[in-house]
Amino acid sequence: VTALDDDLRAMFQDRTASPPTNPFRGEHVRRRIWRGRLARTGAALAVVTVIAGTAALVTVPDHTRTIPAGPTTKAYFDRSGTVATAPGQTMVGQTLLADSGQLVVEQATDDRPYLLVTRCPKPGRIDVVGSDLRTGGHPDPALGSYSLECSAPVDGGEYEGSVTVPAPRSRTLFGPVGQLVLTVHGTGLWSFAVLAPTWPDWLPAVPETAAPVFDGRQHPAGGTFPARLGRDGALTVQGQCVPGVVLSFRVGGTAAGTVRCTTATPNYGVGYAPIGQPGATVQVTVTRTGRDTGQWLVTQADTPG
Amino acid sequence: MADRAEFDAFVAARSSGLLRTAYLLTRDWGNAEDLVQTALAKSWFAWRRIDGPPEAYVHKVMVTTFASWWQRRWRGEAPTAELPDSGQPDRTVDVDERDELWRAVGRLSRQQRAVIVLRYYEDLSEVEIAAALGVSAGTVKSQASRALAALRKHGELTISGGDR
Repeated sequence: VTALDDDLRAMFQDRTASPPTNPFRGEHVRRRIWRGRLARTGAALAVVTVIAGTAALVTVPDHTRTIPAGPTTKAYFDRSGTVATAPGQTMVGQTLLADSGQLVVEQATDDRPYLLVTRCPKPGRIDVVGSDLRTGGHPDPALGSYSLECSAPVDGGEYEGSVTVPAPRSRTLFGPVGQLVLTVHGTGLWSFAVLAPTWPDWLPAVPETAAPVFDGRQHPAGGTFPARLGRDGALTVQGQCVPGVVLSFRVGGTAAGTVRCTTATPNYGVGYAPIGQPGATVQVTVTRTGRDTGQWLVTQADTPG
Repeated sequence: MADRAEFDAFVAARSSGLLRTAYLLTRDWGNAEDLVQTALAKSWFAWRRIDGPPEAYVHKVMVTTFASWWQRRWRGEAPTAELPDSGQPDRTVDVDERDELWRAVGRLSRQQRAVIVLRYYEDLSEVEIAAALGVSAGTVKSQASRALAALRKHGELTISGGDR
């Protein structure tokens, strides 16, 4: 050991003696996880630069991935207690418990129905109450309270039960930092999981950092929205939609670009052409054709003027 | 089971310690927070596959992310003769010496700095450091040797004594 060794250790201790606190670190990590999951889900993220006049559109390779094949039986769980999702369905939280416990559910900031499912060795009931981690995580029936009767016989001599949390009540129960408080009224080890509809029928939940400038879930047919030009006077918007949806953009009545969402080849539009003063706001009209669904939205990247 | 609950408990219990290490690597609390959150989020996707204590895995992710950031995000950063001191003031009597040592550590290469931090702050062995950095133990040894030589050489650092 040298004096340098000692000095390094002492200096490192000094330097790290008073780190800043971040009570929201856990929440921030969850958001990053969600954004990562969003990327891995492979939503058909198509980008089109809206140009007054001509739109230079190119196609890029598909980034869409399909979710794994679902279970072949009606049971939600396999014999090990692991939940199995069906196509168009994703698991957003799962836990095992014997009497009571908590389950943190990844952010659900959109309005989608959720399915609570449970599996038990003997018939019984599990109570589910929402809580907000930001206010201590205590059970709060005002956020939502559900009871699942675990009584339907399934393979393996066990039982299952489920209940749907309809939209928009799911937003209250799960978001933005949802934790479910679970209480088992029965015996043995119980499995509990939360399932949600997802790609290719539903868009993944949108993180707050990517708030849409136009939301097809509120206006399925389309509409007009204000958008801000970048510092070069060009406008860039991103269209995100489930397969089969076609989004057409117009600026000032002029066709400006089209996004076609498919599972195979989402379009990716690029191109730059000034259409106004940097930082100016223009009215963009988007029209949805193709698949009749509100599962699409438009976002705009940061375009400081 | 309860991977999520286990992960959340890990974040709550260990992230402050990770933040300290990240600060010694990045020398900035804001970048340290970013690095810790990035490492934790990356680790979640492999949580079920982690064999052994998760802290070692998260450490590895954090250090390798730190290295990749240097290439991707902090390309413009270069050691200078007068590094800005973004850290907190020292509370020791020999402020000047500690500040000088802090600056000297900041002049080390990223890998050398990581080696020094993991060795003298985390008290990891050469083998453990090698695992965290994804290099051989020999590389760790040589990097540590060069780093310490550089630190000794720098202004002589008022370091008293040598190997005992």
